[in-house]
Amino acid sequence: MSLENVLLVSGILFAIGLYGSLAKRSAIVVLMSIEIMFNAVNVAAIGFSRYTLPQQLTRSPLEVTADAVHAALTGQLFAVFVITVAAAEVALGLALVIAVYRSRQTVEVTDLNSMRG
Amino acid sequence: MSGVEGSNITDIAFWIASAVAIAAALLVVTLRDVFRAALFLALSFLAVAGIFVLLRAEFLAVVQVLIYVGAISVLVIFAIMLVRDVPGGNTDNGMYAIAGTIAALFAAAVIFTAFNANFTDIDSLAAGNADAGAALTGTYTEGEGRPGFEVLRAAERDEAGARSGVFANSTGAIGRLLIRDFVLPFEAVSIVLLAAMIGALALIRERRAP
Repeated sequence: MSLENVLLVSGILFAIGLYGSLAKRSAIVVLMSIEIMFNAVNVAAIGFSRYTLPQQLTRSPLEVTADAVHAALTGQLFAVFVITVAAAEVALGLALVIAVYRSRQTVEVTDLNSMRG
Repeated sequence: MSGVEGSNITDIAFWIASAVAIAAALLVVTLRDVFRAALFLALSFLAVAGIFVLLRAEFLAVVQVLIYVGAISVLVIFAIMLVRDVPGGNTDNGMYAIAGTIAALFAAAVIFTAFNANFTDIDSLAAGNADAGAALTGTYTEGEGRPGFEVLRAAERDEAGARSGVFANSTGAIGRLLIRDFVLPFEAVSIVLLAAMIGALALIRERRAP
């Protein structure tokens, strides 16, 4: 279990979500695939938070201070924000899906082409 | 670092959780039944929560279970039940070849980068630099005036965090970071949530005839 393995899992999960969001017809499945991508990004952020310090990117002789070590939690904080935005996104997305279903009786993204020129 | 971490058990648990997460995610994009796909989505979220625990992000693991498994999955299942169209199935839109190529290229690029970048990770840092290792694992015992000592003092100031390093009691530290260093993003994201809530209510409202 190392940073490389965590990034491997994260990359595979993100690729699965990317495939699902591009190739699927149902808007609900597209939203589910986007959630998988959010999860993959969270895994990567938390993996970086666990295995590296942010200051390694900017200062080559790492000074170990209280701030430097507490900054190790910044990745987890990013994951908190990603989860919050994902919750907002899925609430809005499903509201849109239901509103579209009410007016057009379909949730398939291939049918929603009224903005095509 | 401490406890069972670094042993084979963590490795095995990590690979099991990863395999479950990836297999469940694959089932989400391949199953024809959307309802079952949503159930496997919840399983994938749970497995990712397990990965979070192994990466010493216990607070995030609990948040993951509460918000993803508890709220988002249930919301998705509600939407599937409200939308009658879904028994038509989880079909492709005819672009699966292009989408598969893009996804495979992306995965290849990410994996190539991950295995070729030179990350100095914390564990080798802890092996090479006694102060850094002590600050991260909390095994610091002596040496007032050395840089790591201040970290331990900082850890001792919160009661439960003493003797256990930065990851051991991360909930309090995350809370402090949220209201100190990241207070502006914190407020911004709360406004985003409020706007999303009002927007969702406005979108879904039944329009009465005037």
